[in-house]
Amino acid sequence: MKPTFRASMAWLHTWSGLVIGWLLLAITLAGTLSVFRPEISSWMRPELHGRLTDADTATQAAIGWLTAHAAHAPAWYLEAPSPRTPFTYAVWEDGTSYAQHALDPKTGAPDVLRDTLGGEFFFRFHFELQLPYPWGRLIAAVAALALVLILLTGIVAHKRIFLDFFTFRPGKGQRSWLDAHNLLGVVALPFHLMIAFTGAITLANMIMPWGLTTLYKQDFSALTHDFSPATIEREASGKPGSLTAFGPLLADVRHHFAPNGLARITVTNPSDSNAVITFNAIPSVSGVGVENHTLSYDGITGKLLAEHRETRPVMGFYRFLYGLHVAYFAPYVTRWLYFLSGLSLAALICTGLQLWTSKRCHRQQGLGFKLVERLNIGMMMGTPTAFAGYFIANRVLPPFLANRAQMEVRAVFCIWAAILLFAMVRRPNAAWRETLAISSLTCLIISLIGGIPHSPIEWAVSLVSLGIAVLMRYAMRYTPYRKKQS
Amino acid sequence: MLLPLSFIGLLAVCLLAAATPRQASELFTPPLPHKQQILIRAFGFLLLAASFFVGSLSHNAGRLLIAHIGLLGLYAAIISLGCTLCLHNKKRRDPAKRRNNHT
Repeated sequence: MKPTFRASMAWLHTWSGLVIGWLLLAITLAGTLSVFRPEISSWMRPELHGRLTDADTATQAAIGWLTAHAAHAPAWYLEAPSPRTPFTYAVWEDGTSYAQHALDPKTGAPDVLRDTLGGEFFFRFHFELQLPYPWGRLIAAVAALALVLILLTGIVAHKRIFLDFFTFRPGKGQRSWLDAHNLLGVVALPFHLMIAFTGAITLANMIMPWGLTTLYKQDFSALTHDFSPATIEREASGKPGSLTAFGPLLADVRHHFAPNGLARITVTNPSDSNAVITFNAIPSVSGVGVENHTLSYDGITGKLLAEHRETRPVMGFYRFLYGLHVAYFAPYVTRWLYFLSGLSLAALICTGLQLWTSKRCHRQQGLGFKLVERLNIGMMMGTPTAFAGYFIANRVLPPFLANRAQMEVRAVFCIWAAILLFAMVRRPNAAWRETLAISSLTCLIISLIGGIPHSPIEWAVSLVSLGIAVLMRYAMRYTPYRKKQS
Repeated sequence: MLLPLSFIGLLAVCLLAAATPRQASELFTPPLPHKQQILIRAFGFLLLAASFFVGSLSHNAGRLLIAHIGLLGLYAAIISLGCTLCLHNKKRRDPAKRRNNHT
C-alpha cells in the first residue's frame, strides 16, 4: 500500500502505462494516420490521375458495373465519391467472402485501380487490430478505457502542472524524459482526454453489452431499426427486377440532403423486385456529429419509402462524441491539428515508456528490465517503420498482382516482426541507433518514391515523411542514453 | 474568425509562459517580481477566457473552439521549445559575460 493517494496514483499510472503502452502506441499511430484516411487512399492509387469525374458520374458508373457483375450479391455497400475521396469504394458478398474494391470513376470497373486497402488499413487496425471480431474491438476498448485511467492518474500524479508548464530541460537524462513526458501530456491534454474518452464511448458496448442485450435480446433487426428508423429491411421475393435509373434518384437525394452531401449508399437485393436503396448524408456542414439523415427508396420504382433525420437528444449526444473522435467534420486546419495532437499522444506514450527504463537503468537489471527495454525499441521503432513499409509496399509491389492488398498488409507485420526480433537480439544502444536509421530511411524512401510530387496530397505525403525522416535522423544523436553507465 | 481568435490565443499563451513561476525566474534577468507575474498571468487568463467567449458566440462555435483548443496546444508546445532555446542561449552567454565583467 502506498503512503499517499498521489503515490498510489503514480504507481497505477506507471504500471498500467507500461502494461498497455505498446498496444496504445500502435493504436494511436494508426488512429493518427486515419485522420487522413481518404487522402492516403488516394495517394495509394496513383492510377486515379486523369481519371477523375464528377461524383454522380462516378456513382452511376459504379452502380452500372455492379449491376453487370455482382447482380446476385445480397447487398452492395458503397462509399460515395467526395472531394476527399474521388472514387467509389464498394463492398459486396462474393460467394463465400466479401469483395472490397475501389471502383474506377470513369468505368466503375475494379481492375483499373490497384488493389489496396489504402487508408482503410489504418482505420480498421485502429480499432480491430487486424484480429477477428470481437477480439480486436474488445482489446481496443480495454486499451481506450486504460488510456482514460492512465491520463487521469497521470494528472493526479503530476503535482506541479502550472509550475512546470513550458519547461523542458534537455541533456539531463531522466529529468529530460520526465519534462518531455509532462510537456507533451499537458499541452495537448484536452485532446488526449477527449480522444480517450470518446474512443472508450465508441466501443463501450464491447465491454458493457448488458444494456443492449437486456433491451433487444438477440434481435439485431430491432436494434438496427431503432438506431436508424429509415433503414428498411425487405426479404428477397425471388422475382427478378431491374434497378431504377440512378441519375434522377441522386438528384432527388442531393436535394433532400442539401446543404450536406452524400456519404453512403446501400443497395439490398439489387436484382430482386424487393430491392431497396438507402442513402446516408455526410456529416452536417455546420455541426460536429456524424451523419444524421437517411433516405430509403424502392429500388425498382424509385419511390421514397422512408426518411429519417436524427433529432433524438441521446443519439445526438452519442453522434457528437463519435463525431469528435473521428473528426469527419474537420476542415483541413483542424484535421492537421488532430494529426499533430495524435503524434503528440504517440510521443507522450513513447516518453512514458522510455522513462520507465531510464529510471531503472542504474539499478540492477533483471530479465523484466531487459525485456521492457527491448520491447520499447521494437515497438517504438517497429510501429512507425512497419507503417512506413506499408506505403513503400504499395508502390513497390506490381500494381495488378493477385491478392495484392493482403500482401501489403502482410508486409507491415513482417517488417514489424523483423524489427522486434532485431531489437531482442541486438545490444540496446546499437539497436536504438540502427532501428532509427532504418526508420529514417524508410520515411526518406516514401518521400522520394513517387518522384516529383504533383498534387497537394503527394506534396503532403512527401513533406511529412521527409520531416519524420529528418527527425529520426536527428534523434539518432541522442539515443545512447546508457553511454555513461557502460 | 479563427485567425483573430488564434492571435488572441497566441498572445495569451505568450503572457502565461512569461508569467509561469519557473520561466519568470529563469528567463528574465532580474527575475520578474511576484506582483508583475500575477498581473501578467491574470491578463493572460483574461485574454484566454475572452477568446473562448468570443469563439462561443460565433455561428460555428463547436468547430471553432475545437480548432482553437488545438491551436493553443500547438502554441504551448512551440513556446516551450522557444523557452528552452532562450534558456540554453542565456546559459551559454552568461559565463562569457561574467568573464568580461571580471576583466
